[in-house]
Amino acid sequence: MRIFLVEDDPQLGDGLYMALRIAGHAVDWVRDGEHARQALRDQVYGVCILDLGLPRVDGLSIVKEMRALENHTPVLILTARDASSDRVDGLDAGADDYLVKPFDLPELLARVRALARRSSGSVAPTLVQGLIALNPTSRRVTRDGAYVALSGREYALLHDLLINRGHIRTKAELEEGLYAWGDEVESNTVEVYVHHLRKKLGADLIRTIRGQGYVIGDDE
Amino acid sequence: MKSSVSLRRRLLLSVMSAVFMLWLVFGVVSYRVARTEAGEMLDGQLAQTAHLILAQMRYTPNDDRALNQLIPLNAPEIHPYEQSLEFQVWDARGQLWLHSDNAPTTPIAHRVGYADIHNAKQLWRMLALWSPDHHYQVQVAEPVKDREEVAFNMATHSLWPMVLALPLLAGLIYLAVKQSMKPLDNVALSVIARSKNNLEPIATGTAPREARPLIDALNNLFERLASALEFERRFTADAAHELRTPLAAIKLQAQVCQISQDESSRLHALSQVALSVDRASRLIDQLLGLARLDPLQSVTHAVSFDLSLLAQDVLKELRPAIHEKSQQLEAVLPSAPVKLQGDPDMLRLAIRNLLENATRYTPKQGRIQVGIEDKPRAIRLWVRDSGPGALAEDLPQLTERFYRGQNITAEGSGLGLPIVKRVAELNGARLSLNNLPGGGLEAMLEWCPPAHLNA
Repeated sequence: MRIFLVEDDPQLGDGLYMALRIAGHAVDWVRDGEHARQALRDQVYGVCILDLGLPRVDGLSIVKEMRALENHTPVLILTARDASSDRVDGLDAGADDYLVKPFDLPELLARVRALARRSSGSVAPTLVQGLIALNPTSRRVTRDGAYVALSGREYALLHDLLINRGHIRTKAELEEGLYAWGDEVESNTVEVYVHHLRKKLGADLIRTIRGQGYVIGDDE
Repeated sequence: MKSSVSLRRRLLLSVMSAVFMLWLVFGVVSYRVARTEAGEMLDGQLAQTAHLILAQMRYTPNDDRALNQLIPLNAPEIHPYEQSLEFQVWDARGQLWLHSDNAPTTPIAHRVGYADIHNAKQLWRMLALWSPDHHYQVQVAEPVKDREEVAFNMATHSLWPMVLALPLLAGLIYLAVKQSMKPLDNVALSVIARSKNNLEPIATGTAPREARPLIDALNNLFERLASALEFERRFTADAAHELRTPLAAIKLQAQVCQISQDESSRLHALSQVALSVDRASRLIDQLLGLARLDPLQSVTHAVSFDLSLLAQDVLKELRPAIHEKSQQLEAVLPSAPVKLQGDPDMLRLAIRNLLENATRYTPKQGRIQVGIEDKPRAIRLWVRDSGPGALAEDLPQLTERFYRGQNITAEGSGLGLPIVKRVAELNGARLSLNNLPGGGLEAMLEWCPPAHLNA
């Protein structure tokens, strides 16, 4: 999943960036509100992690603007203030969840997963399609109960398609989920990973919609 | 400790002593008036007695039989104010016709009219009067002692109501004062009954007008206390929040270190932990610095020092950091000593903060200028950076605690400039911040008039 991280503290931002990368996400990190606003206009993200105290434009204004522009990306706010008014203001402005600093990394990652799950309309933590089951918490994928080893990008692609089950995902959309800014994008990557996934999980799992993209499950 | 003044007691004492003094004066005056009146009245009685005796003389046989007659007057008293009178009746030739048994046989008086005379070892009030035909002269006398007794009794009796009125008056005054002080007591009680957190203004509605200045002053104090408390509260909250971010970073980087698979990202996370600890320590140092500066009213041990030498010292300390960012340092420091009075340690901290800010906001290869100007009217020290400067609306707020310019992305504690400002205040200097025309920020400390002139 591609995650947008807005944090001005260099060490905290670096820690979040590294942790999310290790968890298999593509992460775009900006350090001030103005850059965040611009990036959110151009790019669609799975989850946005937003610090409230930012230079130039504060976090609350960013959430408000996102919601005003019909951007429904789930937003997790980070705040150093534990006064309930700050959390209430954040949630009322349109944020979906919050964490008070200092927070626990496993909790942050779990909340990010929960936000992604909720935004896809699925409540169950495990994504199931036929014999295939994907558990985002453990990052385990099974076929008929048997563990299947996937690379980080194979997993990310499968997760993307499963979360958007029934919706056709274009190649460009799938690519965006795989790469953060500055990552080297290889040509035909999506085709290559789809090919790998079909080999490991069965040829009929992912369907190619000619001229549009790929879909898991019946397209609506 | 000097005992405090009780308004109630003072009012009671002053009103009561005034009333008592007046009462005393009135008492003395009415006593005297009553005595004078009683004397007049007794004189009148004396005259009446004399006339009565003279009238009686008309019916006295006009021969020697009636000469030297003794009239006994020792009849039992029927009224306490009855006077023990003496009288003599003489004729024009000097013969004594009648006299009371207690009167001497020589003339009591030698002239006509009222007189006070000494006779038989006591003082007498007497009246000598001729009959209209000048045949007889009557002399009537009564002891002054008796008269005084009557006068005294009459005068003192007239004072009784006043004596009785005194305690009554005192009681009424006491009640009146107590009643008048009640609104003031109520104000005091309402202040006493306050909880220590209640800094709401005192209602002035029912308070007496005389208490208004006090209540206004108290309300003013409450207001200032509330804002000072609010300032402290905000400062503590801000400080706690500022510490939370480096703490969050430390915890996060430690956890990243735990889940990192490869050695290089583990080392990276550890170096980030160290950086966060540095930041937290710097923040704590700045907080402690402010905490030490805050309660001071002025520099306690002002000494004379050379500002130029001090600046050179700080530059020497910071040169490696400036070098590391490949920044150029231009220092224009006078070689002659720039004498100032103040706390050199505080000013060293201030200059250090200004220079650290300059290196922080100046990009690599950028230029930093430091200068001192020693003019008769003012001594100035400035630090100029070649960073982005500050937004015009941010400039006045940059010296507020934890305020960070909206344009600022470099990390800082938000306490550096507030510390410099406080040091400047304590050392008789003024801190001003200005954007430079060619970009960059200038921070200037200005002594005007220079502190050395006051020394």
